[in-house]
Amino acid sequence: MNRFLPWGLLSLFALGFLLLFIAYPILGVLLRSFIGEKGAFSTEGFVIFLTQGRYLEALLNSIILGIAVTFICTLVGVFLAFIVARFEIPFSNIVFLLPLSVLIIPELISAQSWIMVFGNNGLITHLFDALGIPFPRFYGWFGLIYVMTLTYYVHIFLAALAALRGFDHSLEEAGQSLGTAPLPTYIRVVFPTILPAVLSSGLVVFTLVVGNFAISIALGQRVPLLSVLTYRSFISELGGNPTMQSTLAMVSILLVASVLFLQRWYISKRDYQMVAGRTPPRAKLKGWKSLLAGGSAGLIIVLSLLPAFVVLAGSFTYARGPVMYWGQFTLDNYTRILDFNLGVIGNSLRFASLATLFGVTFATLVSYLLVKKRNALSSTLDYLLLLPLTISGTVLGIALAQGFNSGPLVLTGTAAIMVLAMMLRRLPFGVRNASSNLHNISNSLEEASVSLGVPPGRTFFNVVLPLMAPGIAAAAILTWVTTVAELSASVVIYQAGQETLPIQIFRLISSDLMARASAFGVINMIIILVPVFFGIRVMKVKLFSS
Amino acid sequence: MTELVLGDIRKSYHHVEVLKGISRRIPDGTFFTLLGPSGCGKTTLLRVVAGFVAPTAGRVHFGAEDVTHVAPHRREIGMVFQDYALFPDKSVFENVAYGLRARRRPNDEIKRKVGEYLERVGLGGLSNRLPTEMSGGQRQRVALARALVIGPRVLLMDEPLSNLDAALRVQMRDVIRSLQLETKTTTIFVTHDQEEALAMSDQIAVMKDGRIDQCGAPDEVYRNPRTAYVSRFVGSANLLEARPMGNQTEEVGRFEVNGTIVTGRTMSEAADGRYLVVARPENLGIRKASGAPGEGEVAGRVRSLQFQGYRTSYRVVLCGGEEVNVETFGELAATPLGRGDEVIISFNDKCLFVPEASS
Repeated sequence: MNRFLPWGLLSLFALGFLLLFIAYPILGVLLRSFIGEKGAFSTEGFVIFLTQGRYLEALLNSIILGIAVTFICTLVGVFLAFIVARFEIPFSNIVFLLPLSVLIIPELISAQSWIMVFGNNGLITHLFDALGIPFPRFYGWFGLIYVMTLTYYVHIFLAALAALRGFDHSLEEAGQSLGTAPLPTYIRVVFPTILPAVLSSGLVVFTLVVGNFAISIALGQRVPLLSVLTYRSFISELGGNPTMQSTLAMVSILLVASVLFLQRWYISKRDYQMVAGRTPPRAKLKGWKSLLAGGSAGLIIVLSLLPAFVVLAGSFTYARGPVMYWGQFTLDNYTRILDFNLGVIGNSLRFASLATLFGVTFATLVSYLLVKKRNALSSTLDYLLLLPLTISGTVLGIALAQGFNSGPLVLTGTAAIMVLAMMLRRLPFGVRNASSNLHNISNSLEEASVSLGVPPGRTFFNVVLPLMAPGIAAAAILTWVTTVAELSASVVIYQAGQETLPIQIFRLISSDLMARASAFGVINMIIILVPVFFGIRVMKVKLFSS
Repeated sequence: MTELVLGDIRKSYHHVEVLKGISRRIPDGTFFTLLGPSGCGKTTLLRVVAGFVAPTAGRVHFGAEDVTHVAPHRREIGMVFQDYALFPDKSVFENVAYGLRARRRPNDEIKRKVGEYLERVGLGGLSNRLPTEMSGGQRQRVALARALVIGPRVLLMDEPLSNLDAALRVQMRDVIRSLQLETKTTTIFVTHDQEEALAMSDQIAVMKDGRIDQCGAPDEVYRNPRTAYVSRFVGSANLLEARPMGNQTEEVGRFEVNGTIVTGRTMSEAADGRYLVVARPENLGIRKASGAPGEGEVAGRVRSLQFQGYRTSYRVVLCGGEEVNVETFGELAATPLGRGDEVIISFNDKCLFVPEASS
């Protein structure tokens, strides 16, 4: 039927795009991991991986780190959610800044700020030195777990909070009426029902930890980790034999994909649905209990927001080389940027706006095709859209760089590949945001418009697009936020002259130039904050509804 | 003003035939109702006329024009949906103006026509409201104005009243029917509510399993159902086994029902010789038992009754064990029998006989 052709063609276009820029590069990584130095089929990459101690050690370290961070995040997240949901605590409104803080403070800046506090030249480190107390080394397991926990616990907090809020209070009362005391009731009745949400967000945290690049490389010099090793293998072997990078990338893809698969399987098996009931009332706490609950929740919140202030202070602090002179204020760090590094800001703005523009347009189109115009290609599209979730930024960077450095389509080294990498990483989330309203738009709305004489294409723009607008705005803001902060993929593929703010910050941190890094960090956070603020305040976008 | 012709419309989804060859000529200006239970194909047929569903075979004509392959937005139809389908971000005025704007009519004409139609559906003065600020009945009025303001060749309505509460539904029947008569628009109305169908239509097509079982004016379909299915779906009917006495090819039939002889019309011949008697509740008489039942009468006992003022309905258990509904009106209704009373039920000559097989 030719009247359905436009949607079919667009599906075909979307499919082709994803096959070319996601499936093909990943397939390339898979194939190259089985090609030896001589160019023939070989398993030598995997043999090296399994026999040379450091690779296996890195894999094991990554898994241990993932488990540890997930576990502690679960404790912290569920604890905080429990307190926020059940008790009236002072300044509880500030809790709703937490999901924002994760958006506004990129992981790299979080790592940097904690190095400025606990690192070799850190504030607290110096304080302890002055008092003669030995301070535990921050670089390594302690620092990794600490910073990653503060970065990722919010995922579990939000999932647990939503589940607790949705919990029907009368179930709990039913438990109590049958003769159990409040706390045991809570544990026996409530925790099993929020478990699915917590577990599934926990698995997501695990994949984020395993794929994490920024914190891992900033704090993990003494702990070999899979993501850092993958990055190093690419940097040092660029132009040489790609077997090892592909092998490492493959191992990382397999690890993350299997965990994500586990998560999806778990969600599909446990389709628990709570009838939305009465939200339990929040109890007032008195005396030491109030102090304990409020204090510990407050501490978590302060620690989450602190990096922004540390970096802000650091950016105005005079420094000579790595040594920071706290208390001596200067504008030097900013004037240097104005004098020498405006291009970096320009790059960030340029790449991020292009990635946001293309990413959101593509996400809008695809979500419409997937929700409203399903056809034979739709389920393939669904699966292809999951692929970016299974690969870390580093691996995506390597896959793109390897996939498009020769052959008919050479992109490596161009600005296009930077934009592409940033856009692809966020695509699955963009589609989810854009389609959030779409499910509520009845098909009869479009049919009404068509019956009134407006062709299907124009109906989309007249009727559907305005109703999708809130979801599209959320997708645009979140895409912008993540692309402006993107490091792990772009640091693999950038060329001289294409440095973005995170790349510049990363290089300055590596040289231990924290004050200058802080100034870039503040600019980075402002660039993130402006559209977020504008979106939430002026356009009333709900960023965390889905 | 358009005559609508359906020529042997068929539609299959994955080898399941949901429309099994529907042919019908719907004269210009007719209010034509498709009546049937869910899954009978009535909505699919409506969507074929609208153009949202392409038929597997068959043709749709609007007047002389074959529109079978014309895209829906070029068919000049008006459509009213069960969920109203108002554009939630547009005001009432803009909703109604939507089709006129698509036709690039001049602004002053749009203003005049939208005002006129909002007035016609009784919503003058509400043109600046958003749909979310209106009641269900008001929303459906907007939808009706929006569909009619463009002067459609055919008006298509898909269960437009089923989301409204009972009182509003009765009121909206009137609004829709009056506007349809004023504009003389050929209308297809889909519903599963027989009362609606009887009250509003010029023609009712009772659908079953992708076919039209019977088509005719409301009183015709009610009085002369040709199948047990139609008798049950349009109005309520007592259906009892009937054994033919002699040859049943003639118009007037004699049957044995529950041990007594009943006469009435035979609607069509049963290939297997098995028949049912169709006795509307108002076609059964009821009186207190006194002596043995005569011809056309059966003894029974009142199991329950509902007194409703102008009428009383009884549930009566016949001596054979079957139950029937009986209704009495006026004087008779005013002096109801009691629960458990022994009664005599009499069949009058308005009873019909239909083949059992189709039910």
